[in-house]
Amino acid sequence: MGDSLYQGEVYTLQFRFDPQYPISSPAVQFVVADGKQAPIHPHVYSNGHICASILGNEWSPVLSVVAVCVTLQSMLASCKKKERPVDNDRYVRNAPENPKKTLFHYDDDTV
Amino acid sequence: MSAREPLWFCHECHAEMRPLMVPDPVCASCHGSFVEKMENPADDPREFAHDFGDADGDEHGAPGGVDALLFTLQSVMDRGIARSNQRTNTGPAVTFELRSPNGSRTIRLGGGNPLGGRPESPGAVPSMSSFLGSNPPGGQRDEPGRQDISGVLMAQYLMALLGNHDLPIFGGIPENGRMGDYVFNQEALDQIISQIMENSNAHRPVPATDEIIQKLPREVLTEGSPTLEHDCAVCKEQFKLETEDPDEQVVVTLPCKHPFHEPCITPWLKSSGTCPVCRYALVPQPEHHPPPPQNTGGNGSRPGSPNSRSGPSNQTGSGAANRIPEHGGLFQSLFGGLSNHLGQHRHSPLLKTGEVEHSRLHRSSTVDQILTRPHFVLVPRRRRMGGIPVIMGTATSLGAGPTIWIS
Repeated sequence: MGDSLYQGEVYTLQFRFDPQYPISSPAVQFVVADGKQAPIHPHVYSNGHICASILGNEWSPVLSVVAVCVTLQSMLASCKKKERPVDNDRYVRNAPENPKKTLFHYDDDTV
Repeated sequence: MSAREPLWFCHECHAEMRPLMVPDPVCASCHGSFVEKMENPADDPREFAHDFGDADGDEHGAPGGVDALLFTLQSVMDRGIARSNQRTNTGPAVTFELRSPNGSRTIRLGGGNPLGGRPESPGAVPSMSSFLGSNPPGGQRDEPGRQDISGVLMAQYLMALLGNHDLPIFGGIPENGRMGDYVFNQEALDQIISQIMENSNAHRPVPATDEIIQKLPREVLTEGSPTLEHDCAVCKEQFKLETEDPDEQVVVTLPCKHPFHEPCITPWLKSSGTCPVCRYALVPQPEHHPPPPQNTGGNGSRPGSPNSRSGPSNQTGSGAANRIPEHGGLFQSLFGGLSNHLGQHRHSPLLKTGEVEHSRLHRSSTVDQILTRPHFVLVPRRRRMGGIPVIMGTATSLGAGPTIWIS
């Protein structure tokens, strides 16, 4: 991870698979409980929900847990500034329990 | 989503809305359960509500001051919505009387005004959303001296009025913060935005039709078949002759030459008509990353073009399986042919070129194209007026019929 902003930090991911997996994507989020926090990142909400297109409408059944983990690692590694999404408070206040129920709109290809 | 889908009427708050199904229908405005689908024009629940409420024609008999205004407003809200599809440009005038400590003021709507009203209903005035969406036909019938207020001006005036008074009537409204297509707090705005997004199918994958799936080439594995050297990318198993499920000996090869067990690929194609490996599109798919506006007319790779995704994938698809080991990198093996998709990746129009180059140098571009971020502002026109966040737009643009909630 070299010069990652998150060097040395430890986060826990939760994967939930429904019976349709791998046709349907797993519900993936950072664990926010028991002292665990979600990383501060422009695509990660403070409730642990992650806005990444491969977890939504760009999911493909060839993707795997490893692929998701590497993707999220890369997402963190490429972050230049630790900050929450601009709409974090608003989203978290009304967010569904399962992040798959959220319809994210993906418009930022940079991070 | 169909705009023609009948709305529901709430007998508790008189809202016209699409109900929340949880699983029984409840009013999207007040969460009441006394709701009725408006599917039979001959038995319109709104008629019943009007007769029962007897609000018609009471504007001028109501108590003065703010109450009079509110009473008038209620009538506007109620009937404007109910009748908006019948409004004409020649309806009779409606008079608002606004009284304040500084004196009274009369505002006239109707007559030559585009807001109009239904001929047989002298009090009918369209909803704000309907007259915000309509353009005055020129105002040629305006007479000098008459205080006609139309469109946005009228809306601003009313909203400013509502915003400046801590009106007792709103004691009941902020419960959900919604009054029709107007919102009074953040939660209500979020709800509306979510509703809009859920109604938008724009980015959902398009499934392949059964016919397309049926026509895909199938191979029943036999001894010596070259397919036996490959893996099914969905289940990660190598193709083999001895299987418990005979269906697993049927291999479907997509036009991009990627092979899959038939039971592995069929359910996927029924949810998304694309190759799981290279995203070759068997049916036109929505763009995940809309192109910059200035490019819209430029190339042919737009949704609707059957080859929107297939061009580059086609060229590289047949070699993808062979190329992976050559490139060898971690991302290549993880994402396989997904990287074929890269050629069509479009960056945000706001991105500076330098940033793109920088990011490409440091990261897998595969990853940087599949990670994106939310952007919630989809409301047609949103402004803040009189301290109240207001969503303006026509009923259709909001994806739901105008709903009015007033107590």
